[in-house]
Amino acid sequence: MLKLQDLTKAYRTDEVETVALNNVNIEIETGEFVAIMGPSGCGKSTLLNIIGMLDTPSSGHYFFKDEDVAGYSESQLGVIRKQHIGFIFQSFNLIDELTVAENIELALLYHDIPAAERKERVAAVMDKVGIAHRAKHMPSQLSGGQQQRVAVARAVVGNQSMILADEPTGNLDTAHGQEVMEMLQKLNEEGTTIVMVTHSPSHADYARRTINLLDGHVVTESMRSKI
Amino acid sequence: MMKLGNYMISAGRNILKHKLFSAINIFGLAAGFATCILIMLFVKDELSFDNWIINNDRIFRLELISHPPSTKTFELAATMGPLKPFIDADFPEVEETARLTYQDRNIQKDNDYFSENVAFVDNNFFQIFGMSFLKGSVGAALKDPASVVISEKMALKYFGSTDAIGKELIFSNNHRYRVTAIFADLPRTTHFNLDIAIPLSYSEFPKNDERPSLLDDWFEIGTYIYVKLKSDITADSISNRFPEFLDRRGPRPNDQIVPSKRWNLKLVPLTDIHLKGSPTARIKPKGSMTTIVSFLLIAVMILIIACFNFMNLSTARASLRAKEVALRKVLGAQKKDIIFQFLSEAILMAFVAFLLAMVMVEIILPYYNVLIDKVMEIGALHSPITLASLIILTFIVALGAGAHPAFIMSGFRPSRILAAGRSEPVGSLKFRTFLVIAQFTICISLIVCALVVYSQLTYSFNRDAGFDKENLLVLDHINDPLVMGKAQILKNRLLELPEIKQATLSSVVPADRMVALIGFSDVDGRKSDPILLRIESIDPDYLSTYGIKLDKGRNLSPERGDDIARLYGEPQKNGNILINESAVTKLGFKGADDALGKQLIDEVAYTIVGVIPDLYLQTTRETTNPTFYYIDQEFYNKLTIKYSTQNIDTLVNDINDIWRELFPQVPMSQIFLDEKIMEQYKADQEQGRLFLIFASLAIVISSLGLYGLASFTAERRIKEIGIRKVMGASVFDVVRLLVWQFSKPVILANLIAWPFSFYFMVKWLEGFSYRIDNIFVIAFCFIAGIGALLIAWITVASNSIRVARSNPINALRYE
Repeated sequence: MLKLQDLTKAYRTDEVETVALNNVNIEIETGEFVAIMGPSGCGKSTLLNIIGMLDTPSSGHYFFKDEDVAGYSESQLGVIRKQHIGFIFQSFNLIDELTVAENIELALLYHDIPAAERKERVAAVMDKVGIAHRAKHMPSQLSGGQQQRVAVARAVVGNQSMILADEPTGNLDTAHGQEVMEMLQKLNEEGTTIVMVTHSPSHADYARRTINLLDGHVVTESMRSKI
Repeated sequence: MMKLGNYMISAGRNILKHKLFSAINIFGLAAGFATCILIMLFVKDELSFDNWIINNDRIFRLELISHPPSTKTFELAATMGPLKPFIDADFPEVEETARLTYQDRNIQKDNDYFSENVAFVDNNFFQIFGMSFLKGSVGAALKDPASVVISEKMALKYFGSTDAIGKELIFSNNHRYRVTAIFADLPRTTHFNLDIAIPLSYSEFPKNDERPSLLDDWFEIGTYIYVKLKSDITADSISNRFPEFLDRRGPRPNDQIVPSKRWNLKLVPLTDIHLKGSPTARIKPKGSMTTIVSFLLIAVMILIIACFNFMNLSTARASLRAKEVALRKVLGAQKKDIIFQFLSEAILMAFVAFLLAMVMVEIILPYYNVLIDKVMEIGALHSPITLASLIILTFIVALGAGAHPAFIMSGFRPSRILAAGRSEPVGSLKFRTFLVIAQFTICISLIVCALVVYSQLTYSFNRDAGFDKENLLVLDHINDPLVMGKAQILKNRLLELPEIKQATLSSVVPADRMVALIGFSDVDGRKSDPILLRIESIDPDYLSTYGIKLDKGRNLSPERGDDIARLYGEPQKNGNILINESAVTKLGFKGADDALGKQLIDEVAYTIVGVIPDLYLQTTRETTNPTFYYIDQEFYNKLTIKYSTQNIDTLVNDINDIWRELFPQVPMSQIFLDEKIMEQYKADQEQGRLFLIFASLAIVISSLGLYGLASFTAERRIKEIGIRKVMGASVFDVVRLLVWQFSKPVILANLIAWPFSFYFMVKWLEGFSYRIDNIFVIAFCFIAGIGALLIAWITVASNSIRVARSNPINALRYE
């Protein structure tokens, strides 16, 4: 699916240069479920942003489906991103002024899909995550868990092959967190590649592989197979 | 007090911290204030006419209402000169009356001659108006028939100092007048002009050529009669006796009806003359109440726009200040403290804006004066009452504009804001959208007004008037006794100049205000009510000089004795005449062919030998008059020259040389015809220009507000924009989204503004007899609408592009 080679990301201000990622080499296969862990400020989010093509590396290579996208422009990245990658955020990031259905539809809106087909796919995905009865509600009328389910629906409605989840359970209580993790697991079983940043070791257990980051370096990688 | 200091510090720092928004806020409000102050200066000036005159509540002008047969009633500022002694005799309620009339006189200074508009006044004129003299005594000044009273300006012009008592002014080369008094120049806000005044009185003034004939002639109307009533007498109490008075004392019109059927009189209060007096035969152009009202309306609207900006930007900024408010509340601030804080901030801003506005007015005033042809001074603002009312206005604006954000912000619940870390959207979006709609409704209406006024003016200048307007120079003073006899010689001498193609002598030229009328009740043996025709004495070159083509018949030629007629003076002489097309209709002929050879019969008969097209001699407000053209060589006032040269200065010099050679004692006075025609639209042009300026100002202020609002909205929607970008929206998609958000209110504003401005502008156009088609008003509505939309787009887009380009991850951070 993707391969990061000698990838470095540095932020520069007038006085200080902060290295967020240093010489990172990671390979993720299609259909994998990978968790990225590490303390605050270790570079997890930066790594996820680069994988998600929301940010560009300072140096190194990023092969996405064998294509080196490291030097691509914002708009080139945008084209690849909207085809292949879905996002789930800790703070859900739903648009307050749009209904549940409209929020989900947003992911199809910029894809030249006819309105009728969009409606169909939105309806289907809402059924799948169990929020069809909330279609006309505004995000503020939903619980956190429901909001995150909407976000999950939005991430997969475009048939994206990879989902990047940035602490998807961070704002949720245990029960709701569990619910979202099970949903991600199910998606993974159906073939979607998932890369997830998390602080919670129990949630990281859902992944088959965990990458530990510290100060911009990959420190350990551990494989786990469910018994 | 400590608290207030803290608020002011916080307010000051806040203003400095958000420089762009503070600048937009303060500058917008200042521009609004400045416009208001400028308009108020104009209005104050217009309303202050004749206020300086003592006892102005007891002084009235006697004006004439004329009901001519077969024509509309019209009102004249002047009336019949011979009425005065009868008013004095018949109305015991009248304390005194005084007459004023004007004639041009040539006055000699060393070897130079100046044409002056001389006022002929009754002895008591200066007493009635309570004027005092710088030199000389009010009671004695005009006792001697050969005395002259002059203004300070004239004293300086002719004698170099105000030390001029006893010195002589020589009029028309042979009449000597002795200066007996000097008065201070009249305030500009006086409805009459007075520079040189000579006495006018029945008993003392000999009947000579200096005595204006309109004093004795009932039908030559050009005398202004001022009436001072005894105290506690109302004008109404004597006006109702005017019809009976006219029947007893007035003249018999030749159609044998009682005078009161033909005329009436009215008393116009002195201070109303400028704005409400009769429109015709005025000394100075009439002020317009409509203009005052519409400008006041514009002032209020621009102030509202500026206030809306203030409200809009302040509430928008409130979201950024939520945390400050929350902390103040946590530390013990009450709701009223927060309200007080934000109101004091609004007041601080408003006063900074007010000071800035005063500076702006000071800078703009000289240009504004030129634009509206006034001489107003900033000093007019320095009276305590004006200043106080401006400061009160500033307070009202500050409270009005500051109240909304103050109450919104004071209502924040600190726990929510501090917990969320990120502020909630503040204020109702609907309310803000409403403000934007209101602003743009006003802007669009003003643009439509400006466009309609301008295109009607353009139409007025450019319409086919039926004659050439280009390359025509008009010489005045042909009726001066010294010139009159040699007018033909002058014409022939001028025609020798190679640049001069044609020249014609005539009683009037296009755009002249003077109108002579004659009524015929016998048209070729057909008796009827008198039909009024405008009369114009021309010469045979009139048609060729003005490029007019005969419809039917032939031109007049002085070589034929029967082509010379006489209407004025004794005896009338029959002769051939030309008439225009509307006269053909008015006189009841079937067509030009039918009219030829027919006679108009008064005491003698005038035979129609030719018909010419209607000429548009007046403004587009007036309809064309049925006109009667004839040749009477003693009735020429103007000489029109058709020239063909680029070198105008040389031409005028050459003409002047010939004039000075022939008439060394008469100053030459010339005007280009196209300029003279333009001059008639001066007030409209000024109004059009002001509309344009106010419309632009309204747009600038609204755009400033929109820019500020758009950037706040973009900030507020930054999360949404981030999400949309992550979902695949391009920069263009995002810009379109934001721009569309502001297009909706502008489109709505259009829908509101169009019917209003269409209605009012069509009403305005109805004041013109010849006007642009209503379809243009509709077109201008569209143009104004699209213009406003474009301006809104440009304003919003620049900002939106910046926001749309920013990296979404910044917006989606949750830390």
